[in-house]
Amino acid sequence: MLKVGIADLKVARTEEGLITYALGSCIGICLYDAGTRIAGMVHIMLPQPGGKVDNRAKYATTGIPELIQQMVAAGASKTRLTAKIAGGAKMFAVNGTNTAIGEIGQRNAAMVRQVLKQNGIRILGEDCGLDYARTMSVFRADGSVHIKSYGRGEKTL
Amino acid sequence: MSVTDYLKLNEIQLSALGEIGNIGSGNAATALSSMLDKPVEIEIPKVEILNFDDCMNLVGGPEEIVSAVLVTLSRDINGMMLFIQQEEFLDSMLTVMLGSGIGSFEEIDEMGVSAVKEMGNIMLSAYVNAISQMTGLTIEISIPSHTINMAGGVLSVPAVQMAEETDYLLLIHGNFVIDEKKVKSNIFLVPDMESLNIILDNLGVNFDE
Repeated sequence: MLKVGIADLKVARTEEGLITYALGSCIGICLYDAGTRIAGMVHIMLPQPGGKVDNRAKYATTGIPELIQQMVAAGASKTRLTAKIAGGAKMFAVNGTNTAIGEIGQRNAAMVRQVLKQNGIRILGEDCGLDYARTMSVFRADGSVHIKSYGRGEKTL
Repeated sequence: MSVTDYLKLNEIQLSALGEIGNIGSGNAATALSSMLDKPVEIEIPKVEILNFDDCMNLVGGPEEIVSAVLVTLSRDINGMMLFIQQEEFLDSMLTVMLGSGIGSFEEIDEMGVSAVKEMGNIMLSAYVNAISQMTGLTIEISIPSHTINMAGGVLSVPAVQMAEETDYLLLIHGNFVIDEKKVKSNIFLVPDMESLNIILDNLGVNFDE
């Protein structure tokens, strides 16, 4: 499995699949082309850049288009791409003035859905929100996505 | 603002930040020791500048389950502090505080959560008071929040908060050891870039290159 770090993106053409660990308020977006069995994953931290962008994988608005572009360059068909997404949690219930910390997961999820929609990519499965971290893997053979989390067992999207 | 890149901090500045960690951790250890009525040792605190992926690995790997208390800092400086406990530490601590420990994280109840938040509040306040005295800065800490979850998810909280301005986190990081059991907990102090400069200014070590 190819490891995708935080604010990172990778495309798998020959490997078994891709994995990213412990998504908190971040979101893992897996794109899959069932025709060529090319899978891609991006692990975004924020909805959109505030200023200059030094790492496109950090933001939903730049990371998703970059992943699409790299998958198409690797031979995938943009029109066949489908998406599965996970993360966007609120790790801590934050009281008082710092509500921005608590809402970032929700803002990430909303932006990810919007960017996928703009690109005509259907979301086939998602596991977002609530208050726990998720490890996400995508398998190239069938496009299935496995989610592992603490105390909630595993689930397949 | 003199420092705009953590990687350009010089030796004098890093050692001044280490001293903050040392005095802060010392105060927090004293508070912990008096709460538990047990000796508490501190390991020499470290100042670490790590990329986000390396941050996720700081406490036993990204999927390691930990208990964590988070507070945010306000007034003269902004940032976050995390007090992270491994299972054995939480068990020993709650045994002393409440008379019964937890076999595992799954067994913690509401009273246990309140106790760990209270302990976090006392230790982090003690830590911050030491920084205030050293620097003359007024620092307020928020009401503590608590979670038991994957260490990577917990440590991503300050990373996400700082992600707009940097790809690195500066962490002032101290370990506490109670008993001979060598059970560990960690405190992380994560100031934002502007606050880092305010701290360095107040310590008299913020020079232009």
